[in-house]
This record gives sequence, structure tokens and C-alpha cells, in this order.
Amino acid sequence: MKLIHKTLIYYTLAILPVLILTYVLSYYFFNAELKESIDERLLIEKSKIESATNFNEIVSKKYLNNDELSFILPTESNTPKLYFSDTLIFNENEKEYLPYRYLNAIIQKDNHFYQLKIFVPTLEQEEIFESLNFTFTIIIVALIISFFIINWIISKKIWKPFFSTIHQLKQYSIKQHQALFFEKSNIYEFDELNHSLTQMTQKIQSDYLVLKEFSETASHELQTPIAILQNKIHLLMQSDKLTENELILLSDIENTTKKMSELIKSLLLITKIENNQFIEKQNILVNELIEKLLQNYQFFIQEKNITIFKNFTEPMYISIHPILSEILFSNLLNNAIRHNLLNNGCIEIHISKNQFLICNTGINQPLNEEEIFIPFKKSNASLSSHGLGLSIVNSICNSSNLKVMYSYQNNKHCFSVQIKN
Amino acid sequence: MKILIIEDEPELRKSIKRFLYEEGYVVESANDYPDASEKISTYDYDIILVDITLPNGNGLKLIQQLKEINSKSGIIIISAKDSLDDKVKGLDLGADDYLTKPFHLAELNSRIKALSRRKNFDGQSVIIFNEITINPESKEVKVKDQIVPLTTKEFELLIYFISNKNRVLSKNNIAEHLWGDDADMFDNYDFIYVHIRNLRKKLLDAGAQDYIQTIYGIGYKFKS
Repeated sequence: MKLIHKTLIYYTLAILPVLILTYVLSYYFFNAELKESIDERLLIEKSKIESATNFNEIVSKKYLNNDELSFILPTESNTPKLYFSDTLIFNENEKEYLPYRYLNAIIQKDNHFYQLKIFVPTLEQEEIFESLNFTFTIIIVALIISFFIINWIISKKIWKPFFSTIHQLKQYSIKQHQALFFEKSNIYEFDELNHSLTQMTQKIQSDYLVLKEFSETASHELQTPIAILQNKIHLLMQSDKLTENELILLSDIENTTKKMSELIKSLLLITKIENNQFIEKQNILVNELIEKLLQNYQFFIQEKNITIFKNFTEPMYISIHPILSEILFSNLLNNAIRHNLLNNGCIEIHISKNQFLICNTGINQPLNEEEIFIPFKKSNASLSSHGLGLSIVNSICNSSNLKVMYSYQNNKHCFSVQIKN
Repeated sequence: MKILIIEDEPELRKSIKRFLYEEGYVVESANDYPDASEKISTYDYDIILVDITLPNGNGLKLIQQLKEINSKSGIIIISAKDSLDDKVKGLDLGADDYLTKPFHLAELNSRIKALSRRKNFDGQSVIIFNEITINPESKEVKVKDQIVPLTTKEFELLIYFISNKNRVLSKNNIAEHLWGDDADMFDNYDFIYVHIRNLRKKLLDAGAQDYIQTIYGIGYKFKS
């Protein structure tokens, strides 16, 4: 629910009891005023009769002003009194009870006492209440409408800087390498918000920089000791005094050091990709890149006697950082060569406008689709790969609007790279 | 030939120094930026190995300094930063080669030799090893004036062996030299055996001595 609607509801809820109270008060006030004016009218009637020159004539007629209700009658009672009252009287014409107010008085005239009753219909009074209700309805409607209009204007004008802040936040990316700055709005709350956001993004940016620098330095700090290890191993290997077994041990240590170094390189690469440090994108023609990579890998393909089947139906262009595109496709190709049969394997490469598909022969069972792209999940524990190749492929695809999928078809392991729409 | 090693990590500096000393070079070292800056402005070196990340300064600045004084030294950057930016920047500034840490000493050796050949420090660009003569530019190998037809990889292998003669070279070393990062394409390095067998056979057929020695379990040695 929008803030405007919420305030509108609260305003309406708050204004309702006030309106009801005003209504009730007005009702009593009008009622009292009306009664007073009617009573005044009745008293005037009464004094008119009392002071009429043709009093006896009026008395003899009994009914006043041709009214069947109002009358004047001689009475036994000898104490003058006066009161007003309301009553309902059935009206033959209208076939309903109508409200009346009457004056009942014992008046004295020339030592005779008369009872005087004067009726006045209060129909007008009801109409006044009706119009009062009507007025109040109009007031309520007008208030709600004006709330809407005022809120609409407020949201357009006063909330404008707020929405512009939101817009800027939506556009914000840590890759911009700069904090967010906002226009001054002259509204204290919004300026406070903007100020805090500026501070926050500044903090985020500096933390991000620290993290980036950390990953860069980590590479330096870790690769140097590995370089030392490797070099010492080499120097040790030159010794004439080593036995065959000791040399094999050394060789094992060397291989492990190499793996460690590759692992660090791969992890750093994933970190860099996920930190979006490869921003500049170019349009890369996948068909051409694959041809180039196949050329590079020719030796390995021949050595393993792998048959390559190419089916390039359309040119496939992807928007990606050139380094990432090389890593992506060489990892996939590398994967297809490395995990192929030891001899007489086969690799199929299909390229169409939106899809790259590479299938290779290999172990006769499908790989675990869910685990395959997760770092350090190996399809086969005996393989020398450290299990990061496909994680890198996945990271690159995620950062370049591509989607990589695995399937096992016709005893072949297939990886597809699709352009996301 | 005189080599300056600019590297802040003492153990690495020590290994490189010892290795190059064994190879017969005159080796000096600097462990930080001011020290290196002073040495390169005072003395002449044939080859300078420079680390990019140094205490109190950046190795790239040293390369600038060398270029400003029109130094003829060959420059090899040794850096842990595998970033293309640094590589391009370094080579643009005038470095001759770029080695990423960790590297093999044998690899460093073959790079130094290749650079010194390119720079022609020894006054000749042809490698002569007993009866074997190699012309790196025309990629021609002769044994007793008879041309030996070698494949590109066999040729690279031979130069690598001769650059690191009398050293035990692990299969790992050799694979990485020949294939770089793609060396892990195979689960083991048995494929190297095929190349070495072919090279050895071709050299023997041409009348060369059998220099390539197999060190069981780890690799090979080119014995003079």
C-alpha cells in the first residue's frame, strides 16, 4: 500500500469522529434554534389572540384560522399556565403521522379563563435536517476528494526528491567505483536520507576497493612463496646424491606445488569475475574463436586421436570481455579433450545464432547436473583437474548474460552456452 | 654477463642468485626500490630481472628510469600479478619479457638465454653445442653441417635442453615450457616422452651423440 493511501486512510479515520461530533452538535443546535423560533411564533400567535379586538368572535368560532387543531375554549381552570410540546398527528390527506408543535395555555380575559391550543406543523424542520445531512455528506466527499488532490500534489512535488533518490539507488552499481551524490531537496528528512546514503555508498566503495586490493595482493603474497618452493625443489633436484626414490618424492612435491599455484590462479580469476573486474565488452564471433582454439589444441586432439565434428550453421556473436571469452571456450574445449576417451574419442561442436553446444565422449555415465558447476566438486576423484574449470565457466556465463547447461545425450557429455534474452 | 635481480623476497632472491651464479653469470641483487634505482643508475647490467611490487616503489618506474638513461640492458619482469594490464604496461614501457610467478628456474634461464641472444651480447646469435648448431632465427638445426628437420615443438625442446644443459628437468618443467597453461590438458605428462624420443632419434640419425638422459621417475637431463 502506498504511503499516500495510508495517510489518506488515517486522515479519514481521524476526521470521521470530528465530523460526527459536529453533526450531532449542529443537530442539537439547529433543533434548539428551530424550537425557539417556533415557540416565538406560537407566543406571537397567542398574544395576537389575547389582544385581538374581535376576541369574542374568535372564541365563538372556537377553531383558529380555519385550523381544526388549534382552538380556544372557555375553561374552569383558573390558574394561568403555559407550556409547549411536540406531538404526532395523523394526517388524512397524507395518510401518515406528521410532526407538530403546539402551545397549550390557560389565558385570562375579562375574568374568564380560556384554554388555548395552537398547532404548528414542523415539517420544515425535517426538511432542514435533511439538508443538514445533505450538507454534511457533501462536506465529507469534498474533504476526501481534496485529500486525494492534496496528496497527489504532495506526492508529485514534495516526494519528488525521494523518488529521484530511489531512481538513483536502482541505477547504483558498485562497479561505478564512486559513491552516490544527491541533489539538495530542502526537505530535512530527505536530505538526511540522502546524506546517509552518500555515506553508506562511500563506505561500500572503500570496502570494495580494499577487497579488490586484497585479492590482488593475495595473489602476490601466495605466488611468491610457491615460486620459492618451486625454485628450491629445482635446485635440490640437481643434487647428485639423491636416490631414485627421493627424486620421485621431489617430483611429487613439485606437482603438488604446481597444482596449488593453479588453484590460486583459478580462485583469483573467479573472484575477479564475480567482482566484475572485466567490464569492457566486445562483440566476439564464437565461430572464429573456436577455430582458433582448435588450432591451438591441435596437438592434444591428434595425440588422443580425437575426431572433431563441426556443425557451424550460423555466426554466433556474444557480448563479452575478450579475455573472458577465451577462458570460457578454452575451458569448455579443454574439458572436452581432457575428459575424453584415452583414444579414438569424438567431439561434436554445434554453433547456431543463439547457442553453442559441445559434446564429447567420455565416461559412460552422466555427471551430476547440480554439482558440476559448484567449485571443488569433482566428477572423478582420480582426475588431475582441481575441479574449478566448470565453476569458472559458470561464473563467466553469469557475468556475461549467458547460460551454461549440462546434459547427457547418446552417451555423450554435452555443454551448451546460450545467450539469455 | 652481468645480471641484476630486483626482488624483495629474500628466499626467492637467494634461489635465483644461486642458480644464475651456477650458470656462470655475474649476479647482483637489490631488495627494494631505492636500492635498485641507485644500482641501475650507477652500473651497467646486461640483463635486469625486476619484480613489479617492491617496497617503497613500483618496478614499472624502474623500467621507465632505465629507458630515460637509454640503457641497453635487457629487462625481464617477474611478477605475481597475472593481470594483462601490468603485462601490457610493462612491455609498452620497454621490458623485453614477462614471467609470471611462480616460474621455473629453468624457464627463467631459457628466457635469459633467449634474450641475450636477441640482444646479441655474446656477439653471435647462433647456438653452438659441440656438433650441434642452432639458428634460432631461421629455426634451422645442423649436426655436422647436415640439416636436421625438426618440428616446432622438437626445436623448442632442443633449445630448452641446451639452455639448461646438465640440469635435471622435470616433466613438469618441460610440459610447462612447451604448452604453458595448457599443459594440464593431459592427466599425466607421458606425451612428452613421444617428443623426446623423436628428437633423440633425429639427432642420433644425423650423427650426434646421445645427450638426452632419462632420469627415472622425474624427467630428463641434457648431458654434455
